[in-house]
Amino acid sequence: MALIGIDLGTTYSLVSCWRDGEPLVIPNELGDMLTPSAVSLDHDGSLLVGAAALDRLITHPDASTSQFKRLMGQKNPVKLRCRESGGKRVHKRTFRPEELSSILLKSLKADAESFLGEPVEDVIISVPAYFNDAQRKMTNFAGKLAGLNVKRLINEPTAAAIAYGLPNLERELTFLVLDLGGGTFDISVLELFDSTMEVHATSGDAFLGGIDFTKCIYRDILEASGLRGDKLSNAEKNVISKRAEGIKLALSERSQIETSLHIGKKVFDYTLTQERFEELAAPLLKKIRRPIERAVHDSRLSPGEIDSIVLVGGATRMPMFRKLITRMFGKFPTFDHDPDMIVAKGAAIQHALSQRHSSIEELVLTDICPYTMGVATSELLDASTYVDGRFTPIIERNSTVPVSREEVFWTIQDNQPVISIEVYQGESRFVANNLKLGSLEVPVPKKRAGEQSITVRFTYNVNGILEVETKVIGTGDVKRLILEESPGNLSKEEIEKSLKDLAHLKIHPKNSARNRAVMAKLERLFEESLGEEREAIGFIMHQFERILATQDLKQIEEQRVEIEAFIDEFEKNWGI
Amino acid sequence: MSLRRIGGFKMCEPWKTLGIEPTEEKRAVKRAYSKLLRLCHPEDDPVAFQHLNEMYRIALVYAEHGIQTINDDEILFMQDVKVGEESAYESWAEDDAPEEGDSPEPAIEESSDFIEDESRMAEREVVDALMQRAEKLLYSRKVLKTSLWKNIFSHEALSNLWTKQLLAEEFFLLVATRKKRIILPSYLWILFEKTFHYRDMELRLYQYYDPRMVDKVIGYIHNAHAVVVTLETEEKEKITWTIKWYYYLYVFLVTYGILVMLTYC
Repeated sequence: MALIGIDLGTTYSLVSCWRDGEPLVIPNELGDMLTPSAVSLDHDGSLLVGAAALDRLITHPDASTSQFKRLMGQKNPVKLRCRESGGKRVHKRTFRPEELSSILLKSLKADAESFLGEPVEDVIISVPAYFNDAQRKMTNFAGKLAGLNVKRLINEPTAAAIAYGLPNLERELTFLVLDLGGGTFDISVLELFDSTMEVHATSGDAFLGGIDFTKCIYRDILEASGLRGDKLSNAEKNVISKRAEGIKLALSERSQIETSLHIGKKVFDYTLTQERFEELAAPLLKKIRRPIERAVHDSRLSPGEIDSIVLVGGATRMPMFRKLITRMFGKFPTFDHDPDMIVAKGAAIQHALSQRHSSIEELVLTDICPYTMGVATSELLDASTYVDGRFTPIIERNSTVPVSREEVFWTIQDNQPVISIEVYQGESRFVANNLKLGSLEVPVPKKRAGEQSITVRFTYNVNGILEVETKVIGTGDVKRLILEESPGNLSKEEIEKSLKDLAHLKIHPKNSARNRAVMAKLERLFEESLGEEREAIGFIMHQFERILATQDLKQIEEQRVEIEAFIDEFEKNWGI
Repeated sequence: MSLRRIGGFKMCEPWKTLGIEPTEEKRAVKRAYSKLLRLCHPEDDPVAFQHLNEMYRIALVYAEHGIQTINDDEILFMQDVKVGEESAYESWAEDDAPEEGDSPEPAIEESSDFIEDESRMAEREVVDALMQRAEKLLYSRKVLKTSLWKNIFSHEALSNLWTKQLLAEEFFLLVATRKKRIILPSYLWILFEKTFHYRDMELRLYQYYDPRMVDKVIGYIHNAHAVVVTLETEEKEKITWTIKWYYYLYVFLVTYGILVMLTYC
């Protein structure tokens, strides 16, 4: 049985396995390690996943979507629509975020299966450390929908720390992991000693990542060109976004980018310097500081105690991010690893560890919960007045997990028939400022105020999922709040329905996926280019379509290799 | 780490659990813990693991502060420690001088850490200088000028994490013990919150400082944010009303014009 780990990212996803005593990232059918987290509806009503879907964001914006990880835990569905080629029929489908994630997981699963030559079922999926209860449950549920058995969820910075720590097991280290991915930011403080790894503190922001930096450039382009965002079509918006992303990546290597953009019929020059980019992104850098300050504050570190700072996630390549970190800690971060792959590798290592695989040295890891969890209570002001809406923590943030704690609560009125337990997550003393996770009504025998009590037990497991159990003292009645059964308040019927719906969906067959990806890329280049270039691409597309129709596999293969070489050349000459 | 919730246990229990003699060496505690961790793995035996982990944390605190077991059977209640702290606050609140009174335990711990570490002396000087400026500004006539506050908070040295942390704590004490002259306006509280994020450490502040003090500061911050939200909606309503009146006026003028035209034709 293969030991699989999946890094389900906002912009890119990876799948990896444990093989011959080391983690190995599995390439997808196009030979890439990174699969774009994008899904698109094709003309025939089937689905495209990965690079092809990402290209179709520009050519078919209504039929394609990405960045759905940010919507996890929310209920609003994503609508995709695509007109049948030549025909009048329009394919329409709506997906919930977790369904989109499951489609992506299915495709990663297929990649792993074809690479390994055996069925894949058990996986460990990584999630941002700062994902809350609902978001974690949704990720778990997405795995189920994809036909996977999710053994565990692992926090992304923790996974990265395992991959970083494994070659350094004999050392004693205190280190930070800063994970700035496509859509989320996490920071963890860890300590490694005697093959034991402890997470001391975790903090983060579930809505801060590389795509926000891209948006900064996007807005600047609009401003510089005098275009109005609300007047642009979706396709034009996606074109600008893509160029903005290219400019962002190029700015990691050069200090100034000069380029010409064509949007619709308009062509204009755009210049962006590193300094100007830093100015644009100043509010984001401020947002990055906050969780870092909090995690360091929580772990009570002093400056001399930090041995290294590990950077994870593609967005940490930005020079301004590295500068910020160096200024904050008075120390340079470490660069001796691949920031894109380290999380996926860590997830595979964790899978091998939890199976006690013989080929891995024993590393025991203890993680923590990132949020404080507790219940709403009334507080006694003086002899007889109560104020309600106070938050009483039961499990405090940064407690080592698994953890199980119990508190006792009393009735506050004579003949009170029910004690209602409202479960909250957050850091404020007033529940109004915290996030409600669920509630539970516990009937109790009628007695005088303060004479009847119940115990409330919170159990937080290694997957970061909470269970609540209440017990009435005297009668011994036990009640459980199981949030598991209804992830994100979905009804049973809804769950069954989405399982059934997804079973019918076709994902493009393997052998044609590569051709489809090349075609989608040509379509995108066709829309982005002008004049002679456009004509040339149009000609190639036409030719490729003709050869595809012959279904002569050898000829198709030859032609595709040629076209791929052409695309590479074309993109290189075309600037960023 | 929080010791408050652990409740009562025998002083000698951490050492017994770890199976070692009382020591002041943190390294020895870690070694013993690491060995035992393999016997009660967090994924196999969560209950035993939780107990081991809690005892390990306490042993680390013992080792750090050189707490030796005097009487093996002495039962330690962490709640007692907390009660003691609170009474210390009472005495402080009366003579209104936090720095000289019994400050809470963690504050002592941090400041002593700080004195030991000489490389942080320069940092201390910067913070002292900034605090002097802040205090002066707080009691001066120019207290309402945001730009002056921003001047203080945008000091170069504050890009360093630890310097800023130090200032955050000192500044909290300053505003919490401020003698009232005028009530500070919302925008200042919002600026303070934006700079130091006190709401992030709300529960921790309640743990270490006098709850009345924290109530005051956090209360002001919450109110300030609530005020801004209502102001914004009011402003929007005002605008829609103006638009409406202009619309009525327009409709009136147009009908009047048509009527005039009709009469003359």
